Amino acid sequence: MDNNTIGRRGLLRMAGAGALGLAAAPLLSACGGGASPSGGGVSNAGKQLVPWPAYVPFAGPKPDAPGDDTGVQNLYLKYPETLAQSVNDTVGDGSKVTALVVTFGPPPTPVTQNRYWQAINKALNVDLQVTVVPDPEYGQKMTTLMASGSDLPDIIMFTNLALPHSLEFIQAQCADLSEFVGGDAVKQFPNLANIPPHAWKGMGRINGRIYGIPLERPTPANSLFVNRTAMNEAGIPKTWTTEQYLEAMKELSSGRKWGLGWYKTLFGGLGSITFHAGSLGAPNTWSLSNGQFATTLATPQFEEALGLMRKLVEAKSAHPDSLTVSSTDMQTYFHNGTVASIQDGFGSMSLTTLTKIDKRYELDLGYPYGPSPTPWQGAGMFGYVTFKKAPADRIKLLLRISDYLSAPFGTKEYELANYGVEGVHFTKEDGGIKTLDLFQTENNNTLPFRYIGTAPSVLYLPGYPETAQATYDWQKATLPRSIPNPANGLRSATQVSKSAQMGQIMGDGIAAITFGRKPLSAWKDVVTQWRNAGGDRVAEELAKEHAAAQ
Amino acid sequence: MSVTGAPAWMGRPSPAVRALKAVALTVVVLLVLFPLWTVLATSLAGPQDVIDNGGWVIWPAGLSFDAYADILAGGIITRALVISTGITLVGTALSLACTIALAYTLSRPKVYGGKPMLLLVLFTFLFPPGMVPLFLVVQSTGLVDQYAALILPFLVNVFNLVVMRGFFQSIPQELIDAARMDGAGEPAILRKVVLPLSKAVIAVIGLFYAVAYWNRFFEAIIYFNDQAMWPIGTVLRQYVTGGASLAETSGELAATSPQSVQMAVVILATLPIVCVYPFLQRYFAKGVLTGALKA
Repeated sequence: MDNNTIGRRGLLRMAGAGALGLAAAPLLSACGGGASPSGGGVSNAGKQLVPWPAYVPFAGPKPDAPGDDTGVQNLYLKYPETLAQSVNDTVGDGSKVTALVVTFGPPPTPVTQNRYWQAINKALNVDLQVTVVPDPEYGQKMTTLMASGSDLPDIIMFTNLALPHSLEFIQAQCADLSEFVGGDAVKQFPNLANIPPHAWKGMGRINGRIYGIPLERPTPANSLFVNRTAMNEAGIPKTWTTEQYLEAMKELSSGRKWGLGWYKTLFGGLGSITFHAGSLGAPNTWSLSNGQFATTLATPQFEEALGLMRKLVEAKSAHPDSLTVSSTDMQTYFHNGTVASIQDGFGSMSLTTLTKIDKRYELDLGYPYGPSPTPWQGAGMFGYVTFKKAPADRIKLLLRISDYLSAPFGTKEYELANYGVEGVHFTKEDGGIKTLDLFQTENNNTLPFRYIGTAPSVLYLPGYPETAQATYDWQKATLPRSIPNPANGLRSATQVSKSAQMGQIMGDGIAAITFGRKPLSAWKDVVTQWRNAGGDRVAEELAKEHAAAQ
Repeated sequence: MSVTGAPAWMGRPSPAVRALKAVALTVVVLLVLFPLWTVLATSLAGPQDVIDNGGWVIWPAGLSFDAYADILAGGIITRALVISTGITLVGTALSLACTIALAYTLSRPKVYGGKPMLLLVLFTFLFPPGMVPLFLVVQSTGLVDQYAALILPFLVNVFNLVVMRGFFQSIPQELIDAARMDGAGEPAILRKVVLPLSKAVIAVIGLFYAVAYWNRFFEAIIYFNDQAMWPIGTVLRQYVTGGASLAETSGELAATSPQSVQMAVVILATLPIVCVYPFLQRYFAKGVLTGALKA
């Protein structure tokens, strides 16, 4: 049936099906249908696995201090004077390419007036039409997209949000990229070969195959950001013991000031406890031994971390609104010095944060405090890009687009993708990038090309070399002891379908105990509740997947 | 208390009571105005001023119109305002026409098929379609990427229809019979007798529709693949809430717009509806009461 015309009968049929809510079911079940934890479908258990793409680091401008394979990033104190060129061939063929990506910013100016968009289109030699989906509606938009099953965009970006049936959808509708990027094949796309292995593994395979290009992120998970100036004034050392940490938080709390601030959404899962659990040596979400997955929730270290958070609240060291305010409000309290530390995503170590702090104080990261800390690593990626099924030539073109936009720091391609056009969106001053007014509305936040391909991140904070150096030192000290979540990249159907509910059980339990609504002894019940809600099944499914990947 | 023969509510209250009432009302008015004032004041403050004050400004240190300049510069807000105005005007007109026609038909006794039709309409009220079925209908009728997708699926609101039908039923049958004796057909009766008597309910239902069209934001995201077509509600929401949920889920930088910019968008988006309200207000109480009693 042509999509733009419809007969009277068709309309009535559609209306009838719509009213009864039947239309979605057959379409969704048509997408693979293999949600069973073992055997076919999206699981990797018992499948022949395509090798991960080869890792060929880009030989770009020499960093001021090099990163390493523990996850420490390359440090650049100045913007490189000479830029490398990472893409020499023509990318596109002038054709129209549609892309669907999530957005966290205001909508972009239309392409006809948007010089950043025009410049990217010219560089890629395609007519790139980007549909942005606001993050609160992202899940719903993807659900309708998956249900419609037709008119898919060429490039579909998936965040790390667990969407029911998304893997089955990808398997049914998106191109298998194994032959293009698996093993040494990736070398034909040098910038994709420069994506570190942790990002590919974080994305994981589907049915043993590779279906996406990951959007790399640095390894630290939710971290502690501190107001170093306030800490120094109070004589608080950089590295601290558990007692010193508690004492310091108390020291920093008086009148309308508090040592620490949490915010509401941290209590929707493990966000609020990540830093503390890691400091006290709890396993990262799961521990893996002898092929069996055991939850971190039941470990004594985790319970100790819970007890510590409770002490923070009892000592009135935490902002009293920690359970109710939005992340934006608590971040503002941190920026203006109301709270001396905040637990936030590592991505907040950015120029945007520093601009908001406006040199009121020196920003730094908090060191884990326990005797044998195991700082938690994140997924190592923000999401991944998939491509609609198409002939090999077309897939290669789409991969070249992602390759171009994944160009690393210190290349001309990176500069265009991240800062726009020199003289229009930015200028170079004192060895750094200085953005111009137009960059406020035309950038890769309002027009998120960075979700089609993204460079492996580096430490570069224009105008704040000391903060960049401090972050590097923190990474050097912290990351060698950090641990990944052993479940990263492993498929568990129960995890996808129950993650929201299970996360809420954990978050509510942590909040109840931290803020004194329940005694610490009630945590056992929360863990039982979590196990019954699907935790035990997830552990079993992960063990099967893990066994297959060996 | 004054002691008179008249009932308590007819007597003039003592100065103390009147003063108390005045104070109470002033407090209520201040409670209503304070958040609005904070929004306005925050929109006029500089970004660092906002951070110093912990997010909300009650008295800006210096007036700054930068927030307004910022959002109007890209042309996105102005464009969205034009789109929303268009959708609201066209949508309200169409919705009113359809609702009046259907409500009048269903309000007449002995209309052929009237009962089943009413049940059909009420059925959609009780069992609204889910998001995916509705999307599939919109898609297969070719409305994706058409402004009509924000109007046609929402043309008749059952609640409004029932209120209007109730109002029409309350018009004395004698008036309609008299018109019929004078040779008027149904269209003429509707136009010359019923509608002139129903200004209040039409104004109220019109306002309900207009506000609903103006505030609609979700559908544009689902039905449009081009963000240049977003109405103001969608753009507003994205300015105000976009990015807030980022950091905790992904370690991503929370790329929220400055609070002053968010509040400036709120002011710009509420202004048009606030301007329309006073003109319709006098119909408001009457129309709502009608619906409440007769539906």
